[in-house]
Amino acid sequence: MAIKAISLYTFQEILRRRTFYFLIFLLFLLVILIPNLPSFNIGVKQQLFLDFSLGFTSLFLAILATALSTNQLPADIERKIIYQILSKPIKRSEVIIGKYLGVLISLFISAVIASLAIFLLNFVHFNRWQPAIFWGVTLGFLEASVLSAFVFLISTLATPTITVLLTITFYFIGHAREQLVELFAWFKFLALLFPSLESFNLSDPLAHGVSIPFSYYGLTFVYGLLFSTFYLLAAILIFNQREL
Amino acid sequence: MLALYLEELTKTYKLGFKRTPIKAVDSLYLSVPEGSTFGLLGPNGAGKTTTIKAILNLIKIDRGRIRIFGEDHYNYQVRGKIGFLPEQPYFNLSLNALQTLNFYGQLFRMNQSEIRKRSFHLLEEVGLEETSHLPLSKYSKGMLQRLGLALALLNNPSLLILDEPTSGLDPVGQVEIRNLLLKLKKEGKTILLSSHLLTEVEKLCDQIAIIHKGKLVLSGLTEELLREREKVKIHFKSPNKKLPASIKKLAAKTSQDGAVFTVETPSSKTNDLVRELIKQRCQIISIKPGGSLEEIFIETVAGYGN
Ligand SMILES: Nc1ncnc2c1ncn2[C@@H]1O[C@H](COP(=O)(O)OP(=O)(O)OP(=O)(O)O)[C@@H](O)[C@H]1O
Ligand SMILES: [Mg+2]
Repeated sequence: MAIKAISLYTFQEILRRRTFYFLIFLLFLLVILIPNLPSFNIGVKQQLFLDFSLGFTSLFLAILATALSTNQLPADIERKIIYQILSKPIKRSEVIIGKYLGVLISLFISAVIASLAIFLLNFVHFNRWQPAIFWGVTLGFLEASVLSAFVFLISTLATPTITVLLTITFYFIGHAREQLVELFAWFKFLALLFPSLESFNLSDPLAHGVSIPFSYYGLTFVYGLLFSTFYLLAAILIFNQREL
Repeated sequence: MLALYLEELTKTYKLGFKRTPIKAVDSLYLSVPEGSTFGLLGPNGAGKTTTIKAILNLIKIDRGRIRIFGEDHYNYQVRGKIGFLPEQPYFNLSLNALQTLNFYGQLFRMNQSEIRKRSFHLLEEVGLEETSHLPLSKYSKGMLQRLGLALALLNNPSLLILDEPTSGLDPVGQVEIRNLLLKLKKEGKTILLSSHLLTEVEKLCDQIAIIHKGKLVLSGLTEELLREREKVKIHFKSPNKKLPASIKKLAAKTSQDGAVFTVETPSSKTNDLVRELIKQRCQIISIKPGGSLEEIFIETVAGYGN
């Protein structure tokens, strides 16, 4: 019940932020603009549209996850609202989980809006009925949840600026993980701490109409869940030790 | 039963780059019996807020033990019995008073109807019923303080911990809050209160503890501490502008300000002294009770140096 209260409170607070609507508006605009890009023929144009819009959605969800999560704990600590919250009969872990879920609700709603927009445009403009779009965006949402958990972990220790910088680094390392492992032998062990964020990126195969086995979605889901849990647990361990 | 028991509570902060240790609370023992009103006093930086934060498990303590109604303070559920007003109550300013109480009520695991009933009652009690729909960004400092108090009472706590409850309140507000606390005291609630307003503490608290630099320097029943130090101050003028020797002999302490003499005496000797003053044809200007908590406080703290 405490977790539910905190997550709803977090979500309501996010709904009051202008950045949230601005980012959603921006994404909406991009998705709508892409079909009007000049291109050679209809086939390429449709592939381009899917590739771009799915890619944008993933990137947008990642940015949103970072923007919404970075200040969750630091702001309450800074404003000392955390005293009011933690003097109640709740555990510190409930605060972190509640806030995390509040961010996930916001990301989920954004993902639903984005996938509906892409799906409908794909249908209206190109007369294609491709429910796999929803799967593609779902993976983007999963990637964003992993990122958000990572941000919560870092924000228990670092200032918001450092958190954002580290998260950007994390994002790029996560996407270039396979190449880095090939390039540097020593990165192999470090790589265990980072998920391969490319596994969440299906915009290319989906754009080319490659059908993806259901087991892939299942495995990726478990994979993302494992990393999120791992980061969140670490965040809880650190937050439990923290002075306020 | 003890509502609160602190054993050897010690907390060191590490300050700055060099990590210079500061003992904010130093081997503090405190016992707050159930049903008592306990005043935690001490100069700025004495360690009152730190002690309170330790009780609520907001900071990690170096050493010691804290028991709340017999339970360890690390047990988060025990905070369900506590109502807490922080030194400066902070809120999410985009919410209004009702939304705020609703959120925290859920953290207390209260149900919606319970929260609503309690919220309306408490907002009326602290005088915020008419502004309960105003966003808190429009609240004045005193109004936020009142809301803080309402929140501290939301769960109908057995132990109320108030860090300077009347700070930021106007004189009328201070009296209102004091009366509210007196009412709670009559209901049998245990109150631990930190305050700099010693007249208020004197009226409210039946026990006090004075801490200084994190150490306990004086504690006891307010009444007894005051009685032990009970004295009377008499201001008078002497006919020949000199202090009569017989008076000087009777008084514990004398001083002079122009033509006005002041003598201090334990209250048991007041009658003797007054009789002698009349005999000496002195003109008595005023007789005032001394030995206030304020004097005890200043003497105690000064005695330990700064
Ligand atoms: N977060 C902190 N980091 C470092 N030192 C701290 C911290 N909080 C308090 N202190 C130090 O601990 C000591 C006790 O502070 P505390 O706030 O408990 O005093 P207080 O008795 O509540 O004073 P006041 O009457 O001014 O509210 C002070 O020397 C203070 O500088
Ligand atoms: Mg204080």
